[in-house]
Amino acid sequence: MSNSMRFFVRRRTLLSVLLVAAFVLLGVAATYIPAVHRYVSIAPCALHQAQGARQECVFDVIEHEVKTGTTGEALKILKTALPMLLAKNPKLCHDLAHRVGDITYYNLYIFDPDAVQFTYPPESSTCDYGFYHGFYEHFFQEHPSVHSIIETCSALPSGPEPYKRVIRQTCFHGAGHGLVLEQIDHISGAQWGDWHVFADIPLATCAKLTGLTYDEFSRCPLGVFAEIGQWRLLHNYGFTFEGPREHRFDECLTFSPTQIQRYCLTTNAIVSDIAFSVEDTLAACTVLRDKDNFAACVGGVILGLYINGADEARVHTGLSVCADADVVSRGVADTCYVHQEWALAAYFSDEDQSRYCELFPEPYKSARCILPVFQQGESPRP
Amino acid sequence: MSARILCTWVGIAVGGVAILVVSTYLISGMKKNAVDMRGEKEIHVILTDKGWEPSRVIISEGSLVVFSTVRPFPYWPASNDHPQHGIYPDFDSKVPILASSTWSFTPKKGVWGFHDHIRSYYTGVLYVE
Repeated sequence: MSNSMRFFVRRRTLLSVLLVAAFVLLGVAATYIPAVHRYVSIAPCALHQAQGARQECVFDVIEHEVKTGTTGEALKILKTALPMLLAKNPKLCHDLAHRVGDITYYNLYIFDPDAVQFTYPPESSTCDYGFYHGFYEHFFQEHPSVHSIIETCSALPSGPEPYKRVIRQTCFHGAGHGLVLEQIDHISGAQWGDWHVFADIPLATCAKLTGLTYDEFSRCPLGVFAEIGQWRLLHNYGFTFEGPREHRFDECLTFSPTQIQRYCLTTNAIVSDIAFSVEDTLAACTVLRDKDNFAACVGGVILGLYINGADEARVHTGLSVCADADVVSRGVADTCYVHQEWALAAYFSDEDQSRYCELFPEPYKSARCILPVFQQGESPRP
Repeated sequence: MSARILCTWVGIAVGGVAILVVSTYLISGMKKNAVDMRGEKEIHVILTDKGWEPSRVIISEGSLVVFSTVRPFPYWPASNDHPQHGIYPDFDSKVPILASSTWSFTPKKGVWGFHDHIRSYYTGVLYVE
């Protein structure tokens, strides 16, 4: 054998040994290092070209984790898979986290209650707490009583961590959604589109929730109207956004007391931002004669602005809403900027939050603007 | 052809086949719990208290899938994602179906996750081949 051939054979042997070692290391890492395990378990899903097939592949892995591991780890897998799943539709994030909540509800209450380990890691905040939205809306759809809401939401872990507080609030929010979903079973097609037929019983249940903070209580009626607002967007059960702009929020004004009207206006303005545009929604709000109703609607315009993304352009749009002639002349600018402050704290990094707070015009600049969301006090009231 | 070039080509070929085999194995793993109903013209998928039965089913392209329920509540078969149903918009009953009625659909080739739009925790997958 020539020298060059011997060198080649030796190099090939070395390469083979290295390759085998790499495979063994990867195997060990995939077994014992959770982060590597997550990547390895979802990697084959990337081979699917079709979005639907890829998604079902990832959710196979997630459901297996829910059944055999913990909900927290399942959410970590979702977080790892997000770049792969959201490539074509970044707005899906919240809905995908919802689905993990759906899967958990199914496995916990229908499939095998003993198998699911419910954990509450910080990762559960993935995609704006969609997991808890999904889980609790179904829990309360099937357990729609005041007692079950209080008992379930109040038993959630509490602590100084902000995400735990949001989980509790989301539980009450899910109750609002679930109470409306429960109505579907009892309402005939002839009654579709009737806001009171769908909302009155859920709102009465929400009203019986006592001993809660404002942020906990308000999430229930806000959830009721968020569900109906979503149906308007999807044209479900006879609800729609079609019709003249000046009458877009008329149904909200049929509820009493007035505070309920404002929950309705805020959530419907949020959804209207998605269905139309911020400018169009603001114009629809402007026809509201009552100043507090107008303020609730403008607050919704600001919150809806950031639902599907938070960037500098949206901050400028929000500031232009607060500087709108009607908003200023009707004395609603202060409410508008308070909603901006809350949104900046909720959706942006500390650095961006501080930078954007500097953009507020002088009379509305406040020390509160740069605070984290939970040091700002209660959520802005509609 | 030198031995070196031959070895390189053999290595690439073996590696390629290995990747193909592993990928096929991993992807086919998705169907491991699916009921194989290929060749049947009409497939019945029934919503029970335990969910869709069968919930994962392999069917042939052109088969008619008939959805129904044994629960006393309306139901709404629709493709994922919930709630927009944007991956396969035609696979959507668009309205709730009364418990006493069925809804039928012939899906095109592909992997189609679906759910009950009223209780989206009832999920299933159609593998259409």
